[in-house]
This record gives sequence, structure tokens and C-alpha cells, in this order.
Amino acid sequence: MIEISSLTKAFGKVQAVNGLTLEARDGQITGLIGPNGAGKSTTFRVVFGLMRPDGGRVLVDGIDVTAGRLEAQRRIGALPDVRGLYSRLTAREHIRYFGQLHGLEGPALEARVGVLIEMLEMDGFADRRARGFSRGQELKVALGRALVHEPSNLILDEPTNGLDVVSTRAVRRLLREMRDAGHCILLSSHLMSEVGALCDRLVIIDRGRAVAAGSPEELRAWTGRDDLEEVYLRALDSQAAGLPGFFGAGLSGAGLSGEGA
Amino acid sequence: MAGVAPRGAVWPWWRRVRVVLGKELLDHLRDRRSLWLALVYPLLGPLVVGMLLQLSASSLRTAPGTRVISLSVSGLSYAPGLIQYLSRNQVVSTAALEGGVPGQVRRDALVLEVPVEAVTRDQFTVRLLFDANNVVSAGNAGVVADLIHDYGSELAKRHLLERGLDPGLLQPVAVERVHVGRRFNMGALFYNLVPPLVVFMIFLGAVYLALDTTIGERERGTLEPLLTAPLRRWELLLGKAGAAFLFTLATAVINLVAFWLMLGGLAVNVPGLDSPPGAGTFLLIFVLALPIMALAVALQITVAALARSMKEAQIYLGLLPLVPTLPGIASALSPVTPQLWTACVPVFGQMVIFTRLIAGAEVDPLHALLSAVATAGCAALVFRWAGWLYERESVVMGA
Repeated sequence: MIEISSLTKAFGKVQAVNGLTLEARDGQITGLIGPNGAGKSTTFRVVFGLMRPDGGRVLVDGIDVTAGRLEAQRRIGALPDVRGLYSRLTAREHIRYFGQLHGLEGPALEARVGVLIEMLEMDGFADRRARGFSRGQELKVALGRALVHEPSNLILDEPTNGLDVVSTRAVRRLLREMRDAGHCILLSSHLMSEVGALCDRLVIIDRGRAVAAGSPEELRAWTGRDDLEEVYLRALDSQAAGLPGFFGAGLSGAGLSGEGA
Repeated sequence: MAGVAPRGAVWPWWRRVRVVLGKELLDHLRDRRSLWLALVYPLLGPLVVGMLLQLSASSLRTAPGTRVISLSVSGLSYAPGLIQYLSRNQVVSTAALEGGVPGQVRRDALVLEVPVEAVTRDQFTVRLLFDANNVVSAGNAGVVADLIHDYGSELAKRHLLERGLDPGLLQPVAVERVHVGRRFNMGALFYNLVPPLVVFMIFLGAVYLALDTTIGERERGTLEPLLTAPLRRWELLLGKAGAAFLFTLATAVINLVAFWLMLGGLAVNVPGLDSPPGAGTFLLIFVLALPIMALAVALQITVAALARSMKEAQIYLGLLPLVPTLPGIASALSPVTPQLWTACVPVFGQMVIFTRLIAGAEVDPLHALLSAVATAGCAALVFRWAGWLYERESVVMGA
């Protein structure tokens, strides 16, 4: 479970995250959507332990990411927006390397790597060096190394960005399976079709703060629109007009939107 | 899944460092650029010094009589005494081709023109033709000119004695050269170049690996996923620095072994070259150079952290080896006597020690130890700085 409360992060005069509060629960896929520059990637980087927040806090399974970074990182499977593969390492070596960094070794590690290669359908290129991999192959390797330590929380930045239809479906199937197994999944996406098809809950953020949150059905009911794209635009318009945001059933506005939202 | 501990044990820090180190070695042992720089470049310094020494041996002036010089003589029969004197000193004279003097000079030959009045007169002037642009011709010309001068002096002394005069009148003030050092060693200058060249390679050997594993990771986007793994920044840095250190170590070993073999081989084949330092000296230099290797790696990863791009880092790190090397080259031309202050200057103090070791001179163990400690201390400080830099978000994210 990931709990973000009143998170702030600025780069010079640019306030990238401005009092963001949200919660991603176990056994659910939570989608974080927002326009470019809304603060999604910065939020993820704070959750990954790559950046320190200026204010607020992030808990991963109850562990403060700032105070207990290593322990929190052990519980996160991270897929940053930049996949970043080593061109001279094979797909198998990538997953093995990250497994070792997480303290896995010997037959247990090799077995886990084998399971992931099979699960992600990487048999055809598992022992090929990464130079020249397609976007789909890169994503599978990046997913493999994020999952090697069986983290309880999976955080994915634009997980299907640049993928073809077949690969996109395979990734979505995998995420649903993980959700059903009780993992907490938090993802960001620009694709309304994707978040509509995948997410149990959506958090719409703009200018570093949450402006609406709830299940896709709740958000549709709030706006009176079926199309999630329209829902999304309506939420942004409400924010721009200074109207109050929407926070679904069981979610307190103050608790999710942050200060002043 | 809440609260479910992930797979994997919490390892001690050194095991995580070892994982990073192992990955970097695997990665860069597959990289031709890293291998070329670390394993092939260190052969170039010894090759260049060897070629210079070989060239010098065959061209620079050496003591008369130590090698055979061919001389084409125009008027070979006009001065038989001179020709015999030259012959006794390994200068073999043959008759010059009529009208072909310039061509002969161009073909590395020396041409001596003896005038016909040499047959009848005691005093005459010979002309020695050589090509000053050709180091072989110029070197041989110096030897032959000295011999002719010596022959003239002998002749003058004989004439004075025949007339009952003291030959010393010719030279009221004489000079006797007494060389109190080791036997004359024409290779001394080149031997002195060995320490700065070794240090140059130490600063160059792992430069690509250091760049690729730091700023290269950032530019390729591999650093961000890597930093999501549970390891401290200094552990990551130590693993990368360890890999760079091992590459530097390999570079230094290859470089020193190549110098040892090259100098040993030349000493056998080149007359006038003093016996080179033995394997023990090179081994000692290797051990004493370990702090320099650590400093080189620390500086490489620090400069890479400060640079804004790979290209910028490449420029800085291309120049970095020159910083410690240039003072070393200066001290090769004008050797510095080890003193307390020299020992306290990182790298330079050690190069002064290396120069004396190569020259077979005595070395104060205190100076050797002090200079090694000064370099090691500097390496530790720079590495600490690098560790601090890698804690900064700007270094990691490239902002």
C-alpha cells in the first residue's frame, strides 16, 4: 500500500508537486492521470526514493520512504518512464543483476529469473544482448527486473507507452493478474482507454495536486459523461474554474486532494 | 500483499558493492573501447620510448670507435695519414664517386673532400659534407669531425716536438672531464620519461569505464532504474570505482611489464645503454603507484559527476592525465631531488621517487612512504567528494 500525504517538491521556482495526497491500495490498480508537467513523474521519483520531498511524506507498506529508503525500496517494483537497459547485457543478465541487488542468489534467483522469462514470454530473446531490442522487448526486460524480488507494490510510469497492440494487451493481462494476487499497483498513463480498461481507481492531478479521485464509474457519475476523456477534461476545467474537486465514496476530500483542493 | 516482505535477504554492504562491481566488469569486458584503452594503449608508451632509444642509439653521437662509420672520400690518396687514423677509429673510407657528391650525401653517406694541397702542405682544410636534416648523417659527422680534430692536434704536437717546443703551448688551459656518476648512460633521459608515462597511463586506462558507468549511465537512462534498487549511493559508487580500479590496475601491470621488457631488450642490443632497472624495481613502483591509481579513479568519477554531459566529461578527462604528467616530464628533463616538500605533493612526490628508482639511485624510505600517504590521502578526500556529489539529485537526475 502506498500513502502519499501533502507531498511537495519544487525545482527552483517550479512547484512540481504541490500538496499532493493520494492512496494506492493493495489488490487495486490505481491510475494517476494528468497533463504533461502535472507532477506524475516527480511524484513517482519521490516514491522510488530517487528524490527527497520538500514537504509531506510517502509511506510504502507503512515505511517512510525518506527515513527508511532501503526498506521501502525493497518493497517496490519500479518501472520508471525511462526503461534504461545496458546494451551489452542480455535480458537474463538484467533480471539477474537486479535480483542480486535485492539480495537474491543461487538456485532461488535462477529459478525466479526463469519464471519471469516464461511469464513475460521472453524465451526468444532472453540470452540476447539488449542492443537492438524493440520497445516491447525493452519493456518486458524492465518489467522483469522490477518484479524479480516479488514486490508487494508495483509502480509503473507509462507502462504501455510505445507498445504495439499485442504487447499492450499482454502487459494489461499481467497487471490484472498481479492485482488479483493482491499487489498494490500504481501507474501513470496518458491513455484514457488504458486507465479505463485497467484501473479500479483514478486520481486526476493537475499542477501538482489531486483534483478528483474515485472509481471510473464514480467519476463518470460526477461529471455526467461516459467518455473518460470528457471526465478528465471536466475535472481539469473544474480545477481551472476554482470549483471543488470530486473525491469518491469513502474518500475524504481533504484526505485526498491536499490543501485547498 | 500488505506487509508481505519481498524476496531476498538484506545483505551486508560489501556484497552489494561486489554485485555492482561484478556487473561493471562483465559489461566492460564486453566493450571493445574499454578493453582497447586499458589493455592496448599501455603498450604504446613503451613502444614509443623504445623506438626513440633505438633511433638515438643509431644516430646520436657516441664515443669514437664504438661503431663503424662509412665515409666517402674525394681525394682519398691525398692524405693517407688522416685516412689511416680514421680507419683505426672504425671509420671506413672509400673513394667518392666523381660528381656524385650531393647524391651520396642524400643517401645518408658522409663525404669528405680532401684538397690536393694536402699532398704537399702540412696545413690544409678538408670539407665534411653531411645532411643536417638527417640525424644519422649529422651524428656521424660529429664523430668524424672530432676524429679529424684529434688527428690535427696529434699532428701539431708532433710538429712542435720536432721543433723542440712544448706541445702544451698549443693549449695553455686544458680541461679533463671526470664523470663521477654511473657509467655514461645515453638512455638516462628516456629512463626518466618512464615515470610520467606510467602515471599518464594510470590516469587514462579506466577513463572510458569511469565515464560510462557514471555520466554514461545517466545519459542512457540506466541510472534511474538502478537507483530504485535498495543500495546506498556510496555502495553503488564503490562498486563502480572498484571496477575502474581493477581496469587501472591491469593497465599499470601491462604498462610496467612492457617497459621492463622493452628496456631489458634494448639493453642487450644497443651499445652504450646502461643496464635497465630490474623486475624488482618495477614491482616496487607498481606497489607504490597503488595510491595514484586510487586517486585517478576518484578524480575520474568526480569529474564525470561535475560534467553536464558525456561530451563535456570526455574533454575534461582527456586533459586530466596531463595535469600530473607534465610536471613529471619537466622533472625528467631536469631531475628533482626528493625533499620533504616534494614528498607532500600528491603524485608528483611519487614520480620523483620513481625517477630515482628507475635511475638506480638511493631512495629515502620515509620520502617514499610520505609521498604514497599524501597521494592516498588526496584520493580519499576526492572519493569522499564524489560520494557527496552522488547524493545530490542534480547529479543523479542530470537537472
